[in-house]
This record gives sequence, C-alpha cells and structure tokens, in this order.
Amino acid sequence: MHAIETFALTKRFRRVAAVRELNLEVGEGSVYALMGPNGAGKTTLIKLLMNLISPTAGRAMMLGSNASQLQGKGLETIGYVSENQKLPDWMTVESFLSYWRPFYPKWDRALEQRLVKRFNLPRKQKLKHLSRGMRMKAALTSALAFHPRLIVLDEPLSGLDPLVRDDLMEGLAELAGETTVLLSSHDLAEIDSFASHVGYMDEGRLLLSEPMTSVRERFRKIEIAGDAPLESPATVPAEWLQFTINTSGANADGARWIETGYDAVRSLARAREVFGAVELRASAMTLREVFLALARAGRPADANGGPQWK
Amino acid sequence: MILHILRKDLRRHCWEIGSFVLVCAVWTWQTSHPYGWVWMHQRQLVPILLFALWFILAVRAVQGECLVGDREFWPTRPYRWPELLAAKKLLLILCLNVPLLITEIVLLSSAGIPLSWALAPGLLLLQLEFAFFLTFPAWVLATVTETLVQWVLTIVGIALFAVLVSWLPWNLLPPTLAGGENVTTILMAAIVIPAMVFALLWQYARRRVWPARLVLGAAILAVPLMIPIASTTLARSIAYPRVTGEPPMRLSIVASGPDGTREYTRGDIGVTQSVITIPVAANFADSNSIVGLEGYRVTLTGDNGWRWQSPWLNHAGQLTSDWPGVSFGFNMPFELANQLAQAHASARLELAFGVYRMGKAQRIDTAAQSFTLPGVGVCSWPQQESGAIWVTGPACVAPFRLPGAMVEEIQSGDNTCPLDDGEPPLPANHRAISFQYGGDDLPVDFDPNPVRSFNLWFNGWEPVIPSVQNSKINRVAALCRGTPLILRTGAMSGKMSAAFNLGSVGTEKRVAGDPDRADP
Repeated sequence: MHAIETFALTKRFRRVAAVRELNLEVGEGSVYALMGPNGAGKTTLIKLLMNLISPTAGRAMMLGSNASQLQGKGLETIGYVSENQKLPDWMTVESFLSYWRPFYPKWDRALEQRLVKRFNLPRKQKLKHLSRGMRMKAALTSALAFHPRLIVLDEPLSGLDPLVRDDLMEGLAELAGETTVLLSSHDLAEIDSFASHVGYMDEGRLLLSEPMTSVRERFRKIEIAGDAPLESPATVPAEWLQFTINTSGANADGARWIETGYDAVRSLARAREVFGAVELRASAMTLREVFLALARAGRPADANGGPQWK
Repeated sequence: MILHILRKDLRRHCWEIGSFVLVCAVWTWQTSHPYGWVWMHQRQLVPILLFALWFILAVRAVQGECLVGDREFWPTRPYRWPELLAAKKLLLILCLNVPLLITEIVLLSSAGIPLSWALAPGLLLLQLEFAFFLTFPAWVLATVTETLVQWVLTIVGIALFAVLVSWLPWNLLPPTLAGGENVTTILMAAIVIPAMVFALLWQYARRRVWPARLVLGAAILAVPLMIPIASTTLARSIAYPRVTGEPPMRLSIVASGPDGTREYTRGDIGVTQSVITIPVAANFADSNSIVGLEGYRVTLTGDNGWRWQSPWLNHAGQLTSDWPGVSFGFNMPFELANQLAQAHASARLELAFGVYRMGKAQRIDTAAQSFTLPGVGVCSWPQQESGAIWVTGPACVAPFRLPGAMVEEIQSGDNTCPLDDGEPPLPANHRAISFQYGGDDLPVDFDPNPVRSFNLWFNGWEPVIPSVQNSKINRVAALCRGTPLILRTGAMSGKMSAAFNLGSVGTEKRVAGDPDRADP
C-alpha cells in the first residue's frame, strides 16, 4: 500500500512545465526525502498532492483518495507544514493549538504538550511575534499532535539554525514508525540520517526514487591507480559522473569518478575494460555528496527525458 | 464546528465588530436627534463610515479563510466547507444584521411608532434586503480576491466599467418605461445572481478561483447587453400585459374649445418641431381605483390615409374619479403638425399604467396630540417650533414604507383652522385632496432607517375658495388639530396596458412655445 502515488502528474504554468508526467510512489511508513535544486518542482508537486493547486494532467492519490478531492475529513489524517505558509499570525501559540484541536478526532493533548515542551514554545505569545523557527515549530506541533498517518513537509528546515533543525527533526522522530513522512529539503546532512527513501527532482521530473540503503550502495567515489600513465578514454560509461583523469604531472596514473551503479565485481571489470589493469578503490558517499554530484552532473539536455539515475 | 469557527472569528475581528457597533450607536443617536448633531457638516460622514465598516468587516471575515492563493494554511486542515460557509454567514448576521436590527428598533421606537410583533416581518425583510444587496455581493467578491485592497480595486474596476457603459450613446435607443426597465432589472438579476451563487459555492467547495472569476466577469459584462431589451415591445408587453375585458376607466378628449368643441394645443419649438397636447378626461366605473400613469403612445390617423405615431413616452401622474383630467403631449415634426391641422385626425391612445385598489375610507379624529393612521403610521402635532424648520400640520411617521397609494381628504365644513384676519368661515362642500405613493418594487424600502416621515399637506380647496381680502389668491387648505381626516389606502393590483380610441382630436389651438404639459 502506498501512502502517496502519482500517475503521470503534470502541472504547467502557462508554457512552463513545473511538474512533468511524474510517477511517484511513497510506501506507507517510509520517510521519503524529496531532493532537488531550486526550481526543480518540489513545492509544486507538494501543492498538487495537498490539493492547493490542481494538476494540468495526471492524478495523485493520497492515502488512497484522489488528491484533487482532498479536503474536509480527508485531511484529518494528513499533516502539512510549509516554509511559506500564511499562518494565522494574530493567534497566540495556545489559541492556535486549541483552535485546531476540535478539528481532529485523534488529537493527542499529551503529545501536544510534549511537543510544546520539546520545542520550548511560548504558549502566550502571538505567532507574529515569534521567530521563523518558532513559527515552524508551532506549525509542526499542530501538524503532529493528531498522529497523522501522513505528514507532508515542504522545506521545513530551510533557513533555520542547527539547534532548531535538531529540535524539529527530533519532533518528527517522535512519530517515526506510525507515520509516513514526505519531506522536501535542501538540508542533505539532516536527511541523510533520517530518510528511509529518497527522490531527486530536476526540471519537474523525478530522476531518482529509491531506498536510502540502495543509494548508499549504488553511489561510490571511485579512484583508480595504474602501473603506467592512463590514457583518456574516448567514451566514458553513462554510470560514471564527474570523471577526471590525470594524464600529466606527478599523478598522471590516476582517475576518479562517481559510480552511480556500483557493484564491486562489475565496476572493477568495467574500469579494466576502459583502462586495462588497474586497481580500484571505492569509498562510500554521504547523501550530500551524492546529490551534489547529481546536481553538478548537469541537467538533461534532452527534453524527452534525459538521464534517469536509477 | 460552526460555533467553534464563529468564536474564533469573533475574537479575530473584535476591533472591526466593536467599531461597527459603535458607529451604529452614533448613527442611531444622530438619526433620532436630527437637530441635536452639533457638527452638522459631518452628518454625512457617519452613514459613510457605517457602510465602509460593513464592507470591511464582511470582506475581512470572509478573507480570514482566504479562498484565493496556494499559500493558505487553512485549506490543508480538515474544514468542511458547508460548515465554514455557515460559520461566516452566522458571523455576518450576528455582527452586521443584529446591530442594524437593534438600531432599527431603537429608531422606530424613538420616532413614536409603537413596537409590536406586527413590525417583525418588516424588520426581518429589511435584514434580508441588507444581507442580499450589501453583504452577499461583498462576500462573493471577497471569495475571488485575496486581500481587502484587491477587493477595493475590483469594486473600483466595476465602477469604472459602469461609468464607461454610461458613456455609451444610450440616447439613440427608444425611450423606456419603468415597467420595461423592471423587466431588464429582473433579467440582469437572473444573470448576475446565479453567477454570484455559483462563484460563492464553487469557491468554498473547490477553491479554483479562475472559473469563478470568469463566470462573474462574464455576468458583469452581460449586464449592459440587457439594457436595450427595456425598450423592446416584448419587455413592454411583459411589464404591461393587455387588459383582458374592460379597462378600469374610459378615456375621452375634453371638449375644451369654445362652444364645447374639441381642441388640441400646438406650440412650436423653432421651425422643426411642434409640441401637441391633447386634453383627456377619465371616467371610472369603480371609484375605488386609482390609475398610476407610466407611459403612453399616441397614434393619429386622418384623411386620405394620413397617419402618424409617437414613440412610447414616459408619464408620471395619476387618474382618479376625483381627479380625472390629464393632458398627453408629444413632439411632432413641424411639417407633420401643419398636416395634422388639415387632416381631420382621430387619436388612438395606448396607455401603460398601474392600478391601485383603494380600501374603505376611514375618518380619523385628529384632536389628540398624536393620532394613528390605521395601516400607515402615527402622526403627532408639533408642540413647539422644532429646530430651524417650522412644520405646518402634523408630522407623521410610518414604519418601513408608505402604502402603495394613500389618499387624504379634508372637508371645508369640518375645518378647524383659525381664520385669517378678515376672512369669513369656510363655506361647506369644498374639499382638499392629497395623494402620496409608496414604492411597489421592494417589500420594504431599502434604507437602514426604517422610519418614513411624511406630512399631510394639501394643495388647495376644490372647488377653489377665493380670498375675501385679496381676490387674486385662493384660500389655503390645511389640516389643523381637530379637523377630521378622511383616509384611504391601497396597493398596486397590477400593471397593464390598454388602447383607447379617443375619436377626433378637434381643431388646433396655437400657443406660443412649448405648451404646458401639466395636468389641467
């Protein structure tokens, strides 16, 4: 069962396609991190999922219901927090939380109090007088206190100081296991330890979507060293990103790249096909390194698809 | 949940609500103390402020849960839209209509109108009118705009569009009658109201603003297209269906010439146009009917197939068995007017009119300090000069609106007014009559002040009573304390049209310039 599923979901703003025929599956119970550079279409995708905008084509399912009809009772089990939401600023933290309580049959006062305490939220203060981080915490408290089956977070960590990020991630961790989380973020370091699945979007396309473990295994920094100086190959396999080779100077016998489909035996064999007898040294990558590599690898020039790093 | 949202909104908009209630109170005091307002030049400011706050509160309350944009917080929360809609409606009733209702009750009471349950339907209708004509359009526009500023700009845009439309050469269209305009208004409402209902429900149910904006925009653009319909035969025939059977009166041309001959009046405007006036008298089969004239068209036919027809023309006035005379005037090309004099023409008059059925005459004793006009309101005699204006006769007030038609009559033999110096007592068998008309379009007048003020004034005695002191002037008819008043009230029973063959128009009587079109 998928908590989120999209079928050729497309959103165009006049001539600009913000989301293009996107097929996404987020399994129930997973923590799905949606990554991508600015303008990749992450926020548009999330707004489509939350029925804040309507798709140009395709459809999306949220907890088994059509996202285009998501409202009222359908939102009793879905939490949503976004960095650029207009909160009711005139409310105090206390009135903000107490206003939402009756809307949710499963609102948990004890969890609310725990979150308020964890986030150190000043109950008597108006939201407009709070810092951005504190406002996010208040929003997150209101989105977590009813034990949502699914929580959708759009850049919740953007621009926050590390201490606040830690608080927010801990708050999220409180519901780990019982809740599906879809999270878009630039904060690769935080996601690394938190997400179970990861997706990478660019130019409205989902270029990668898989479990974190698979990403960690698949992506490796490769370095090779030969006995003799290496020659630049005529072509480089598509699985190699950021390929560099030293053909002159003191280190003229080395090359490095990022392998996107690492397998100890096959990767070595492929390297030897290209360079002959070489020794291959593979090292693990952080998520940050993986996505920087993907981003630097450049956006697909081919409008019909481009690379799918799957 | 409705009450939960309502409580939140009451807290959220407490300043706007407080300000509105305060301005309501000031306006109530100002209206009930017309001469007590010190800052006279600021009198108009209070009602403006009252309605400005009305709109501000309505718009801000609706936009509290804004239905435009994709950055709103509330649409991602489990609101049920019918509950949200109901909560907003309840808020607007509670914060706008209830203060207005209290204001109206206070104004009725302070005007001397006894409070009773009989006033409840009128008060309720007035609230419905304000909810429908003010709150509803403001609410609909608030659902398709994001901020108060955007809402104001939309209103300004609509106003500019109206100005632009008013500059179109509407004078090229044939003249319209009030009934035809009513048909147009109904058509406009039939387009705009469903569009507004759609936009409101669509926005709450779907929050997809462009279809709602398109529908509203199309409805507004379609409104001017309805205006030409008012002058069409179809609109006129819908507004004034032909009388089936006998019309309530018969018409004939008055034999006003020397030796009892028929005569019409002609005056020339320059050398291109003439104004023809035909004097007509009505003969009523039922003296309890009053005919309110709204428009007419004259067709003249003469020797050798000569024929001329006027366009439909507006005419305000009434015909009663007590007041049966009226003149119908129309412009005619100078050359045709010359031909008319030779054509031995007959006239056919098509008349569009409303018929008021009057109730029984009631004799009112006016001796008390204040007296009741049954079915109308209350009158009271001034105790002293009130303010700057000295009031002749009793000052009367009615709740919500005056009856469709009201005829007041006094008899010279019963008159109790003090005699002017040197004047003998009034002779008997003279009477003075006054007509007053309320509106017929809405159940109650669309006015936040529910008190209608009117006076019982009379033009003069019929037949006239010349003054003994100065034969050039006639004695004035006035209602004085103790003079019995005969009152009849009635309501519009329907609008209709009828054609009358008046026979020969008679001979021409030339007058200089434009002859007076007033009733003889």
